[in-house]
Amino acid sequence: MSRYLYYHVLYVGMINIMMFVPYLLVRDRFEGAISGMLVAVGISTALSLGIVACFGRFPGMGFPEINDLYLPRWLWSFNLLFGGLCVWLPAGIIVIYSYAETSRLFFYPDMNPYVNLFLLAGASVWASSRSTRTVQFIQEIAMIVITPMLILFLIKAMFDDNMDWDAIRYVAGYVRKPPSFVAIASGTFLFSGYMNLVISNRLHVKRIRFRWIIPVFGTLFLAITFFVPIGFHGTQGVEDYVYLWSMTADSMALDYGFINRVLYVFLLMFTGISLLFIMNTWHTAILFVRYALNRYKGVEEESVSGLNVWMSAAIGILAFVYMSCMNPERNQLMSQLWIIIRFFAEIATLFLMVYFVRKRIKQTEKEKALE
Amino acid sequence: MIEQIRKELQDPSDLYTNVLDNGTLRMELCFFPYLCDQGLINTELIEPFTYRFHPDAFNRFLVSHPCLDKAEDPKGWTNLLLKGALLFKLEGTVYRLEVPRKLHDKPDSVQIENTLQGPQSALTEDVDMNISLVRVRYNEPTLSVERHVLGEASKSRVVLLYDVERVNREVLELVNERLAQVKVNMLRATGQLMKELSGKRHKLFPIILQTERPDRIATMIERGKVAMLLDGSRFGLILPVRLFDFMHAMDDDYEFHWMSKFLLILRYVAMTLTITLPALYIAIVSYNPEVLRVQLTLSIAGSRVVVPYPSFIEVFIMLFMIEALIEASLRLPRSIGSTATTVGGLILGQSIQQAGLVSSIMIIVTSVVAISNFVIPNNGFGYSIRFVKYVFVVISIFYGLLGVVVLFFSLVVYWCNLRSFGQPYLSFFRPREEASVHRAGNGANEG
Repeated sequence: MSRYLYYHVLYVGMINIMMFVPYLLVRDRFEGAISGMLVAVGISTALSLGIVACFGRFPGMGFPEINDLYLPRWLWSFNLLFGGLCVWLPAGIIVIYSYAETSRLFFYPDMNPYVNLFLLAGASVWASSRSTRTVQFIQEIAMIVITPMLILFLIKAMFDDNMDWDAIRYVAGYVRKPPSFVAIASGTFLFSGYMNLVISNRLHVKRIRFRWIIPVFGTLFLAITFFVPIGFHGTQGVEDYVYLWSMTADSMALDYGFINRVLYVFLLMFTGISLLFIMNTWHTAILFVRYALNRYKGVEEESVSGLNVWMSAAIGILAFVYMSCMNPERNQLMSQLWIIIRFFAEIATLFLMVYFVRKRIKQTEKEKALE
Repeated sequence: MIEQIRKELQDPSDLYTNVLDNGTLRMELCFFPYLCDQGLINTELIEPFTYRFHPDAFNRFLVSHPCLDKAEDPKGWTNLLLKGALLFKLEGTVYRLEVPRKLHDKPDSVQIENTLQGPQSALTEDVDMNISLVRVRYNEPTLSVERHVLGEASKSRVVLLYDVERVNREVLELVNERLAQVKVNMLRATGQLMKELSGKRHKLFPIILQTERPDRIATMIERGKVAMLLDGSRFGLILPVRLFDFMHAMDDDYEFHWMSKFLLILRYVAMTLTITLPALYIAIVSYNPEVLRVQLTLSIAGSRVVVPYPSFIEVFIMLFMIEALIEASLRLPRSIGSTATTVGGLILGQSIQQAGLVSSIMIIVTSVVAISNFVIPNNGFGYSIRFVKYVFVVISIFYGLLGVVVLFFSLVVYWCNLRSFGQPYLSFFRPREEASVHRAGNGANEG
């Protein structure tokens, strides 16, 4: 079922808000963010379609097994450990930190941050230690619950009276500036939901259809995440906020219903999205490490193995350690660093996958010749 | 024969033994009169014996009678007697005649899973009757009826029903495996069997559906599920099931399409309300009053001006009251039941608010919770939901609104993590036919 891939695309497209992508883009809005975003759309379209096509050549196989087929042990172990511990794992930790701080700020500012983190980390540890198949089901149900809120929120944002389209047009006019690198790297992040194929491709045995969804959704989210705050806060005021989108959400009001401030719809929606993202990144990290340890590649365990639980518990503790070393500014730096590392890791993945596909084609040709 | 049986059974007073003689033949017979159908004994055995004097004629009768068989193993005699057979000895050979007394000869009427315009017959406590009830509704040659005997002391008959062509083989294997592992002394109710088959003891939600409706069993068999009937219980078990099956009432199949879909959505809304509402009340009152619009917050705050303690104590008082009321009215005789609900619901509900112990909004919350809980069509699932509500209350005491949302996510995780006999408990895609879909490993996404 192709749709499982697009849930990833959907929530990763939105989670950029917790990764400070809007902040990074807005910072460069007069110095090449627009052109950077356009370049990012191009690069991401190529990357996403390329990687999805490559994985299509290996039905039912995850990135670890494919690596194992064509690379020596030390190299694939390095690949997996680097991918798991330096790309996937920090992603979840950065987001859990950002969301814990955001939610604490708006829901109960006087609560101990660690107590709040405990709640989120507990849920994420539990969710991420489940089997791949379970994780996939959770994704779908959670997305179905979130989608109505998301649609409400997007409609609200696009058609609000306070939105100033002139500001958007003004900023969009800076398209001729040379693209900035940070804008390119952070722009590509919105598309990278397809990267979850590294593990979930184990569950995809059929050809993935409707691939155009990835660039279309990515572009849409990129435009929204960048232009809507500018429309609300103006070309200059927009750089005053760290929690840019929370403030943007707070600029809207619901006229009917129980809840007045859109901020709370936004926060509740992002609880789900953040937990989904954390669950998936940690789950991928765990499975990468597990494959490096004992070549485990199952997707279904009726009772979850102890290894999963211990590893995710360790990751949970790591989140506490991260919180004790970080403050919002440092976290922002870390997320910027992570976005850049991720950008290169994605490109490297594409090259690796192309290499594997070529090997595979050669192999099948050889087999055919032998027959 | 008679002496041996009397000795083995410790000479019971309700055992009837006699030696009959019709002039040419001599017959020893024994049976438990209260376990056997005496009318049948008369017509099937005593009358032929009295009128067919010729030994050849009587022998032909013995060979051709469908309920008659030889019982050559002396060890099995007592067991046969206890199951309601009659034993007789004729010219050195022992025969048995199956004449068990049938306590139920017509279907029960529905008591728990009522429908408005569906069939009104329910399962009985007699397993043979139940099998025929299912067979009438699912009249296919592929319907397989598999017998097992479980329970050391009760030796209860358990019957597996499934369609050979539609059933999911993996599920069937797992069921047989688990049935073989069941170790109980007395098997009295399907609920016991359900616990034994579910594997882990501490499950929050049922993974087997218990039903009293033969039409539900028939529809489920048609979808490739396995049904299980137990002698002496008027409930059948259905497995594997999904969360959606618990929220499905038989009326949904019989009423017209859009209305039943609407009712289905209503049930899910009600379930969400009954789980989260008390917790949300605590969260809103004690943590995040700013979430709601100001007028609403003010009226909630105004209604609990007189309440002297924090909101969670209020919630606990009212939830205790309503649970006690439900528990009491469940077991009370019908004539007192209505008094209890009037006293509890109306009088206490109103005066507790006037006395200032509980806010009036909380009374509304409590009634919404109780009513919504009864909307859930399956009793066992309703019980679980009733329990889960308290977990939400506890988390909202410590974490407020965020806690409720995160716990709801965790509940989804829990549901998705559950497997009912290897099949996913909660997944959006719901296969109509069990056999073709959702196998673990390869092809998991093929459905």
